Amino acid sequence: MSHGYVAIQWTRRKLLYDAILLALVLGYLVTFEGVSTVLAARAGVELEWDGMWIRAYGSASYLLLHGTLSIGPLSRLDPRFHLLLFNRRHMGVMVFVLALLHVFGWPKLLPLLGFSGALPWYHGFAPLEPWLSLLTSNRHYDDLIRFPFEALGLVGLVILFVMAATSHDFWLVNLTAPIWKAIHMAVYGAYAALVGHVLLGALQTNRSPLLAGAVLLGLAWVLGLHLLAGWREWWRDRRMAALLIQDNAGGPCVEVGPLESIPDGRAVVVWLAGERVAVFRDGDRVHALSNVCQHQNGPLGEGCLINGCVVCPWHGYEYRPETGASPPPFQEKVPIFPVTIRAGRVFVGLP
Amino acid sequence: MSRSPVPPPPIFVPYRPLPLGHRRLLLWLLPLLTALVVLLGLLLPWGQDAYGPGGRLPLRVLSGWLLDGPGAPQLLLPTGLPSDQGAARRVLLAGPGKTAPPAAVLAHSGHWVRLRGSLFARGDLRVMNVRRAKPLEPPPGSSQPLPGLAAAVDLGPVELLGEIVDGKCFSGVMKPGAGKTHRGCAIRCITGGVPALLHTSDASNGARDVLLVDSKGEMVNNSIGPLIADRLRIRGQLLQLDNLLLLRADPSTYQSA
Repeated sequence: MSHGYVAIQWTRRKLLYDAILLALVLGYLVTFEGVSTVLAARAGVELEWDGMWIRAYGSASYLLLHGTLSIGPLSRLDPRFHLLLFNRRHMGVMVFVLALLHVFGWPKLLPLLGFSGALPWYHGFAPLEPWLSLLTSNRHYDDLIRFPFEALGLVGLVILFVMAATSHDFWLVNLTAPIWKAIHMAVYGAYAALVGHVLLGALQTNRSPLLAGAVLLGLAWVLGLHLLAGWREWWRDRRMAALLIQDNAGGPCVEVGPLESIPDGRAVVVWLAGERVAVFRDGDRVHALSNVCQHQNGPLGEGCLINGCVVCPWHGYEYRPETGASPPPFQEKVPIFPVTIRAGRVFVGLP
Repeated sequence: MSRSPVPPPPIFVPYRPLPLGHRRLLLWLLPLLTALVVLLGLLLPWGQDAYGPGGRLPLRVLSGWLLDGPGAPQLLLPTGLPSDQGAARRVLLAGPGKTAPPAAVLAHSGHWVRLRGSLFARGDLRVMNVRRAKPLEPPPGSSQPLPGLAAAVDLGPVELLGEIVDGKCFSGVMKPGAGKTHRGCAIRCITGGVPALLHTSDASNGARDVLLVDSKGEMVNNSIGPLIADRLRIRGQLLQLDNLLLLRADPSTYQSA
C-alpha cells in the first residue's frame, strides 16, 4: 500500500525473518564445509576448496528454491504458513544471490573466504572468454545424456535474475499485478531448468544414490505439495459452483447460505461468473468483493476484518468492504458485488 | 446480531502482534528447519566425488632434459631425486592456467634446463606448471636422451575403456578433474595444450592413466575436442617410457563406448 518507494521497507519482523534466513543459510554452508574438510582429512587427501564451495553454494541455492516454492502451497493448505509468505520475495532474492555466488564466486580478498565460481573455475584461465567457453565447449544439444547442463543452469540463473530485479513493489505497481505475477510464475521454469541442470550435471559426475535420492525427494515434495493444494482449490471451486442459481432477472447469483454460516469478521469464498468472490460478514451486514488482492493477487477471502477493513493475509493490504477501495491515501480498489439477505439467507449477484 | 457458531483462528497480519496459533507453529517449525538444514549440511557432502588422490606439492625447482614429446612437453629428470618424486623420471609440463608451456620454455627443447613451478602429483603421474626455463650446461656424464618413442618399451596391443582428461586438473588441481561437470574445463585445458590422458578404470587392471599419442607419437590435443569427457573405447599399442604409460592410436579410431 505504499505510494512512495524506498529500496527496502524494512520492518522489525522483516529483519527478523531475514536474520533467521541468513542464519540457516550460513549454518548449511558452514556445516557443508566442515563435513567436507573432515571427509577429506579422513581419506587422507587434499580438499579442493573452489570445487567444494561451488557445490556448497549451488546446493544451498537449490535447496532454498525448494523452500521458496513450498510456501505458496503450504499457505493454501494451512493459512498459518502465511507468516512465511509475507517476506517470500527476500527468500527468492537470496536464492538468486546464492546461485550468483555459485556461478561467479567470492572475490579472494581474504584467505579461506574467497573462491572461484563455476564460470571462472571451469571456463576461465584460458584464452577464450569464459561465457563463450560455457556456451560452446559442449555442443551435444541433440543428446539427452550429453546435453550441456550448463545451458540449463544459465536459463535458471537468468530467470532468477529477472525475478530478483523486478521483485520490488515499484515494478509490481508499474507492471500491474497480473503481468508481475505472470513474470514471477516463471520461477517454475527456473525450477525445471535447475532440476535438469542438477540431473544432467552434478548427478552424472557424482553418481551417489544419496544425491539422486535427495533430488528426487525434493522434486516429489514440490510436485506433491502443488498437486495437493491445487486439488483442494479445484474441489472447493467445484463445490461453490454448485451454489450458482439464477436471480429474479435471470442473471447468475449465488446462494451463500444462512448468515450464521459466515464467521463474523471473516469470509466465505464463492464462485460467480468465473471469478472467486469473498463474502465478508460484519455483524449483521454482509459485503462481497473480489477475492483477488490488487497487490499480489493474494486471497482476500482468507483475510479478516480489522478496524472495519478487509485485510489481505499475504501482506496486510486493506480495503473498505463497502466500496472495495483502500483507505486514503492508498488508491488500490477491488470490484464489489451486490449482496441481498432474504429470510436470513445471503445472496450475491453480479453488479 | 447473529453470532458465528465457531470463532475462526486469527489470521497473520505482518504489522500486528503474532497470533498464538502462529507462535505455536514457529515453536516447532524453527527447530525443524534448523535440524533439516544441519542434516542436509551433514549428508550432502558425502555425495561429492571430490576426494580422489592427487594434489599440489610445494613449489619445486627441477633440472633435467626438456623434451617436446612424445605426446606432450616433458622434463626428463636424472635418477636419484628426493623421495617425493617417487618413480617419476618424466614430468609432464603445462603452462599457467589452461595452456601449454610458453614458447619461451619450449624454445629450449632438447637442452638441459632448470624449471621452477607448482608440481601436481597423482600416483606416478607428475605435471608441472612452468612459466620460464633457464638453460644450463648438462651435468658431466649426462647424455642426450633418445628422441620420441625410441626409448619406449612396447607392451603390446590393448583395448582400453576410459575417459579423456587433462593431465593437469586430473593430477590434483581439481577434484574431480573428470566427469561431465569438468568437461568444459578439460576441453579448455586440452585444446590449450595441457597433456591429454586416458583415465581408465576396469576390474582387471585397476585404474591407469595413459598419455595419448597418435600413430607418429605426436600430441592428439587438436583432434579429440568433441570426445573429451565421454566414455571411450580405444584400441592401440601400449608403451612404457619410464614412469609414463602411453597409448599410441590414431584419434580417428577412438570409439564411443
